[in-house]
Amino acid sequence: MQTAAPKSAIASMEQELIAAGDGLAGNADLLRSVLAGCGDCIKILDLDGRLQFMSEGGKRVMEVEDFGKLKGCPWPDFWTGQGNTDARQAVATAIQGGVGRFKGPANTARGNLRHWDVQVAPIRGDKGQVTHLLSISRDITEEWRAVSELRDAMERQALLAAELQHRIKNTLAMVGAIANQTMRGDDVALARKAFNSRLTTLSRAHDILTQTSWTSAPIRDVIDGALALHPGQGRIDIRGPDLELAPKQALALALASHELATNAVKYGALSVSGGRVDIVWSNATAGTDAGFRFGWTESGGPPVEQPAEDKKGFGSRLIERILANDFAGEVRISYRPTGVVCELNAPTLAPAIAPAREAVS
Amino acid sequence: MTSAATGRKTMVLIVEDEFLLRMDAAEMFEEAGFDVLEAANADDAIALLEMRSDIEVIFTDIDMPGSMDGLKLAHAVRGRWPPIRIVTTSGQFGIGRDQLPVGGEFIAKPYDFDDVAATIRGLMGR
Repeated sequence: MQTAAPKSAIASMEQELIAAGDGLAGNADLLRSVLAGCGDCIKILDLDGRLQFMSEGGKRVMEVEDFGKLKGCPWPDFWTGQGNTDARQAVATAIQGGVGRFKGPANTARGNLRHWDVQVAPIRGDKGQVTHLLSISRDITEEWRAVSELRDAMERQALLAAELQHRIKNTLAMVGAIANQTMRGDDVALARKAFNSRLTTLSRAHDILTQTSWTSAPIRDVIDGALALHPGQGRIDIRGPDLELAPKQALALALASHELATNAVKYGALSVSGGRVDIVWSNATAGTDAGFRFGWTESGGPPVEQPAEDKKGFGSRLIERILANDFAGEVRISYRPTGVVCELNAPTLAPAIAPAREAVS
Repeated sequence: MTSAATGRKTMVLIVEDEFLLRMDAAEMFEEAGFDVLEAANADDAIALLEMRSDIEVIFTDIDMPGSMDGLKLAHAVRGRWPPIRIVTTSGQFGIGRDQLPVGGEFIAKPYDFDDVAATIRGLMGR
């Protein structure tokens, strides 16, 4: 239990003030100047926790214009919630002779929310008895803001890291599935070539999606990316309105376009000079029957034959099933005398708003 | 794989929203001698489970969009169809056994299909 400052401590302060310079020791105005200059809110409470005095500097930071209206009010009631509990506890601690400390938010007299670091200590009389309480509140709003912004940033960072990890694992799983599906024949060199070109297609689609933080991808960029690996691009005509695809649809269309182009170069229209491919899509207004249509039409190539169901490779199955699945539509591949035709009929694609892309110089 | 009791192939329900992974898993299961059903989300999986009585194993991804993720699905299956064996998979780090229903197994993505098949055979043998 603390007692009043001993006489020796008061004498020692007098000595230090004298040593500090003329006009300080014995100056009755010193206390007023210190209180006015201090940026903390310094208050004196009675033993019932009622406000009795507030420093000039304190009225400034607490935005108090008329202290007369506040004088005598219970100080803990300026706090709400946990702050109210903490303030009552701090008052009780100081009455017992200890120092109560807490941090919390409270409004200024004008209703502006600030964060405070508060301590409440006893003021003792001649005989060491606690007569009043000294409450000092320091405005720590800026620090509090900086800390909470840092905490938010760290939480975002952790979320992003988890999301990234999840996406990488999913991509690795997709690569594993493509590997499983590709490495089935006996010809290792062919399988390796097919595998690498499928991976490159996936990678290009990722590049496009990364530019929008995986929100959407422009359909034309997706198709261009998938066809870039293949020869004969001068004989591919691409026509359709600007549309943003969802990430899954972008990956599906990229992989399917790649497989169609691979087949066209191997056996279809792009295997001979003079053959052509027309890629056309349209997107109707929502609610109409037309929906989203995508067509791949080959012409001028050698005659093609429909492969037997059990002879269909991964590429054909991928084209049919991945588009149907990820666009929730129907896919038909026809082997016409004029060449292969692949048609997708799906519900209208919602008009995704293209996110702003950073200009690349 | 065939069931000792019925002589039929074991029916596995694969729940995976990523089409390529679902297709690959389905083919791997078929090659390993299982019968396969596929669902792209938990709601479709529940609908299949309500319609059929021959599903013995559910192999579900955890991270799926929709009203229910794979963990919730696994718990729902344990509650409504207790005999069904449950194997979950995810690319997420640190799915703990305490998050899975009793008797459920977890295999991290990307997985080796042999591990999946061995885990299921282990569960069927219990």
